[in-house]
Amino acid sequence: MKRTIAILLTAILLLCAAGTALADGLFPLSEPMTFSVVVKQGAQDLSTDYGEKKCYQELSAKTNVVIEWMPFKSTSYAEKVTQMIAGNTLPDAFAGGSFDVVNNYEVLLDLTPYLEEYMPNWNRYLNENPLIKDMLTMTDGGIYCLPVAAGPNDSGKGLSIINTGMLYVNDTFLANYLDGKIPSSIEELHDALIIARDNDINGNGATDEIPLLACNNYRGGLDDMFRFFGVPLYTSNYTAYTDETQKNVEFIADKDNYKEALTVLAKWYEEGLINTDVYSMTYDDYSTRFYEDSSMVAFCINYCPDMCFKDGLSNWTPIVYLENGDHEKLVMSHSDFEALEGMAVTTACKNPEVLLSFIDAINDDFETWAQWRYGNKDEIWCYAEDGEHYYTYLMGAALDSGLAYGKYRQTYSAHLNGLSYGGIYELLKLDDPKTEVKGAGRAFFYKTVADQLDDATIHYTVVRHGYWDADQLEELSDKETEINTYCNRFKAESIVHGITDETWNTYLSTLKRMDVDGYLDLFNEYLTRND
Amino acid sequence: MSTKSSAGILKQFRRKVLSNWMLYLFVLPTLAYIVIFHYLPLYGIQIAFRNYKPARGIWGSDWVGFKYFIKFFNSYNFYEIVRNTLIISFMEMLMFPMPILLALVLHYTPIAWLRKFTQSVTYAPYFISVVVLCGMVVAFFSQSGIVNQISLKLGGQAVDYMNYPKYWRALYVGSGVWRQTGYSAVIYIAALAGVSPELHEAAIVDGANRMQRIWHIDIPGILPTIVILLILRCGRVMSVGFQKAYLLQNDLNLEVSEIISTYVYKMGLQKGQYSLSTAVGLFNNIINFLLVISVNKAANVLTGSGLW
Repeated sequence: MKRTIAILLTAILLLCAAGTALADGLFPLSEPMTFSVVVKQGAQDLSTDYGEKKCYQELSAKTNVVIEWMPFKSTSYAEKVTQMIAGNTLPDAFAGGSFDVVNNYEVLLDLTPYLEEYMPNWNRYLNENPLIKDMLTMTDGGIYCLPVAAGPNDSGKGLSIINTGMLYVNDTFLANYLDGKIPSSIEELHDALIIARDNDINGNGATDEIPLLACNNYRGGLDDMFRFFGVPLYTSNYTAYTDETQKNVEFIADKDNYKEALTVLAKWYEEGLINTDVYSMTYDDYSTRFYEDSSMVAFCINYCPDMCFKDGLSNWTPIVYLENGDHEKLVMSHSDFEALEGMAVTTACKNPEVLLSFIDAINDDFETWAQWRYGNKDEIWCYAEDGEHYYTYLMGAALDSGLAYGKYRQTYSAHLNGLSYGGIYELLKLDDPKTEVKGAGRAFFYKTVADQLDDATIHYTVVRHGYWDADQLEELSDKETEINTYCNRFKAESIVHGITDETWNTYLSTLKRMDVDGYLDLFNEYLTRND
Repeated sequence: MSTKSSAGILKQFRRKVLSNWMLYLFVLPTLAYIVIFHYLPLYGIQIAFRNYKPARGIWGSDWVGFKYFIKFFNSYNFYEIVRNTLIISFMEMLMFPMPILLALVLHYTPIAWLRKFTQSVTYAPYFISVVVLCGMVVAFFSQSGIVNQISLKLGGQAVDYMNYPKYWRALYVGSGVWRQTGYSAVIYIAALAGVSPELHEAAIVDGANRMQRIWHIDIPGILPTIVILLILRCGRVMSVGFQKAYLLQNDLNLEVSEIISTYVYKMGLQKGQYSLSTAVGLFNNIINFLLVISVNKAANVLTGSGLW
């Protein structure tokens, strides 16, 4: 039955992707053809040989295309790519982004002539997502790279939200001290934090309780708290879209509700409700604390739980939002894609049509796509019994490996490198009982988040991606760095050392001197550059 | 006449080279190293005056004159980061005598095993990587760190030192002293060993105490070494190390911890603005170069010692 459904699903996707390279007979090649591809290795990717990944091996066997993968760690990827470009030792392609396309597009291949003929899947995807296509298009009309695409959010409401960093409550604390009732307002959260501070919640007799644990070096730390005050702040980005067209931004860090958030958080810090090292703690310290013992923590702000911690935060429940007076109920979500620079073919590639067809074939059918995107079938994803859906969680060999979901996924899949596009979230089965194993997969959290969304407004994070004149982009980038650095500083100082009307007014006048208005004008000019 | 004299000089030079060819052979690798790795790359300085794009290469990138220098000077935090850099650098300069003092203490320690033990203990931190060192500083001086634990036991209050700008410079310089002093003392220990014992014997006969011997014999004996190292140190005034400052930096101490090198890293390297990075580097080196010349001149006048 399962097999029949799988074949049916595959067939549907194949039909959608009419005219693929595999179907058209380009593959398999009569002779193996080798390409060199530099790839960004994710921080959680433990693989030592990219060529060992099953998803690649299977597609390589089908097509006779051999890839010599050159994995660079994400921390040094951008520098090494620049060195390769400067030293003219170009590979056939870069996958993984984070390189300066605007200033280096001369060594990259314009993909537009190849899209229709050799990349029907990507061509369709870009035509269905004109905003992404618009952002990808360089000033000369060419498209020089594919995006790292997360897929449209409207069909996967709630799915990208947890990627931003979110407030979680410790289930043990919740059961023992709050009778299982998740705080629903900012006042209730404050009361719960005081309970955590004044009680020995881990029962060790020591006063080591941390009511709210956050780490500024990790997903913006306390930034997620600001949305409870109607401030759409996302990891130190101080601009927000004014409407759904995503063509206009405003500055959010000079508004009264921003000041109110700072004032409340400063009070909480003074009351000992927030860890004192929130701004000095390193990510390693933060994750070590969870690895060793997090029973003294009542609430924490964390990223997608399965990515970071050994137990996948199996003892934690996300809190999507809190009521707070008249403030808008906001949740933050990624925009339609995660990064612009996913994969680019260089001018050194002698047979770009073959390589591009190979890349496109990743998206030919559902199973191939899922293997590249998630990892091996029946280890990290499998079909739901209804055959129309699939779900993702650790099973079989993956569960035995002892790796967290996220680590397993990155190690055995190709992860997000612009090789496959996302967006088949609507096929994810969220209410399958198997997904309700905390820590074993992400779907449980997707579902928990989706269940709590109700009438919340989803605010998309501002993604300053897209090409423009290099000098203007540089000016925009410089202004943004200076303003963001100053805002980060003021935010940290206000929370830790307190905020007064005097410091707030000085801050506002400094922002004026830093020409925030000019920065916004430039930003909005950029967003409407192609209109 | 002059041609004849030039030919004579050349002949004499050739004869000297041939007669000492083994010595010149020894010098050759060093000379090659300096030329290849220190002089040839100087052509890259032009990146500071071009809008460098890796895809076009250095020679293919457009000339933009002093654009990136002006951009640096006009940056909003220019004065703050230059001020921070200079303050840290001068605080480090104030610590310059620490290895000299350690060398003197070790030199006058009569118990051999204690001297060796102390030297090993003070030398060892040099081998700790900067990353680990910074991790130790953050851990020791955090709210629950060992420093606060001791402070609490003694009846004091716990302070998260990394949250206050006023402690940052002291932590930066102090950790540097802890890591570097033992290593830097080695050269002074060697210099002290070269001071003639006869001078000390004569001073002892004349009734000089230990402090007088240090002041009148040891210090003058190692003065040329001190002066040379001081001049070289002045050549790094604008080049405060990036790694440690960046690793100890957070949003709360940014007003004192943002220095030129961290700024260049954020604005230049992270954003791929290599021309800006080169321009700032060149600016720093010009200041450093001028300082070396000035201090060398001053040292020549004051002490009679110098690099040249």
